[in-house]
Amino acid sequence: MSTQTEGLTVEAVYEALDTVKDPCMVAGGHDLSVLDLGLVYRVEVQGDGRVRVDMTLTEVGCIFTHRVFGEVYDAVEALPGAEEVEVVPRWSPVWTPEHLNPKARRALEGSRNAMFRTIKRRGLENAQS
Amino acid sequence: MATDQLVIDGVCHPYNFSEENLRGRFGRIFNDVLYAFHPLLTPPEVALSKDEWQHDWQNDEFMETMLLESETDMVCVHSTPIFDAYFDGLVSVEKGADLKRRYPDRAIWYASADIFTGEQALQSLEHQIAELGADGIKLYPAQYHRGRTRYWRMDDRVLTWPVFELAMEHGITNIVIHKALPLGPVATEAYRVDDIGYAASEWPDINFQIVHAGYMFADEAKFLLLNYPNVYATLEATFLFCQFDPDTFTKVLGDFLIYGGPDQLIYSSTATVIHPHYLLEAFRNFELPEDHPAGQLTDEIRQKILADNLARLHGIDLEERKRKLEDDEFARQRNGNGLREPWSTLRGQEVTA
Repeated sequence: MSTQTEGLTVEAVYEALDTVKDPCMVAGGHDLSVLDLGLVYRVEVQGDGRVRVDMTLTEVGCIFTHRVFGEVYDAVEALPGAEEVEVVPRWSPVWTPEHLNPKARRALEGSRNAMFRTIKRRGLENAQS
Repeated sequence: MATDQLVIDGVCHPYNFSEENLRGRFGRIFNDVLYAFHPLLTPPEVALSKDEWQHDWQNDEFMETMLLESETDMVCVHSTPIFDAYFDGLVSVEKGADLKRRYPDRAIWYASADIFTGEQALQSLEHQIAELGADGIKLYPAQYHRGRTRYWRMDDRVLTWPVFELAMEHGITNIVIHKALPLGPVATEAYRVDDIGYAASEWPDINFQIVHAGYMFADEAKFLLLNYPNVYATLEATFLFCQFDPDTFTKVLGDFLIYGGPDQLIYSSTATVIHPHYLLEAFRNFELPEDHPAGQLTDEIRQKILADNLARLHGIDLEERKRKLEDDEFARQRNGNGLREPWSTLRGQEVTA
């Protein structure tokens, strides 16, 4: 990973990537980005404004593949100083839940606990009816 | 395979992945996502670099790669009208027609056209069938165009019934529909399979092959196999699970065997995204768990998947075809020299493995 010069930095690219939300997480009510899910493997910024982002998806052949990669292009290409952007899909290493950052882990665990509470409550209501 | 039975690759292509053929960002992402499978499924010592892989495959080198570098005996090639990502559609009609003309005993070819063009599509399909010898029709359910998605359903009587009528008029009984894997940032509804049942029911003399069946919407697909004997799972891309995710392959193949049975499944390699040699090797070594409710993958079942089913759909007598092929140019080279190293044809270094 290299941080480069005038304007465009690796940090700025990461900030841009943090605005790209995972569509399945959004559908599930979670404001989680591709960074939160640990989908980004590597960011490289060259002095001449070339940017390379190596990333994966939670599933090989994900139905939202083109949408997510397209949004990553949009977000990074909008950065001042980004002259040429390359998003490199990588299916290896395969993504696992171990890649989640603490924020995503907490959100999904909270969601799972809420789901279990709902199921339990419904079960009790059904038993009492 | 290890037996003396033929292998027919149900979907493989002489793609045009060259840089010059890419149309905008959609084409770029399309190539990048497909190439990402390549290093995952190819030993590093033979894997193609991205530059090597982004190739405009010519028919001669495609056929030599398929038939002289793997145990594949026949290929089924679909022309593809993906003009929103590739200037020539990715696999041109010209390539398909040329394959059919030059290798009639080794190649099956499916015509294709942009169904949204209506009468123009019908005329093109008729030309490909009547004049160029196409054996079936390949359709794509959606298009991405300038930020908008257009899609249609197989049960849309206005759009698809004329295509089916045309097919039947010309004795074409194989209609193939790309499903399960969206191409581009399109509406995913188009890639569900719930529109196929009605078409299959209304057109019982047509065989409907669902390409990529099982990659997504596997539960829906298995019930289609159960309910409609004229629906087939053509396992392009899905078969790759055999290599990189055997648990998923076990689940999908097992379900399809239980619900549909071995007569409705068609092997497809996805070549030349990957090399068929490694996939066939993986399938040869693949077994269902001992206590699997689908039973075991017997030689007979494997053979149905690898050749018999598609041959039956095209009225090909495999014993007769085998005799016809046993002394052609490919058989002579393979018998004399053994199989070539994977990708050696593309690299211009035709060495025996």
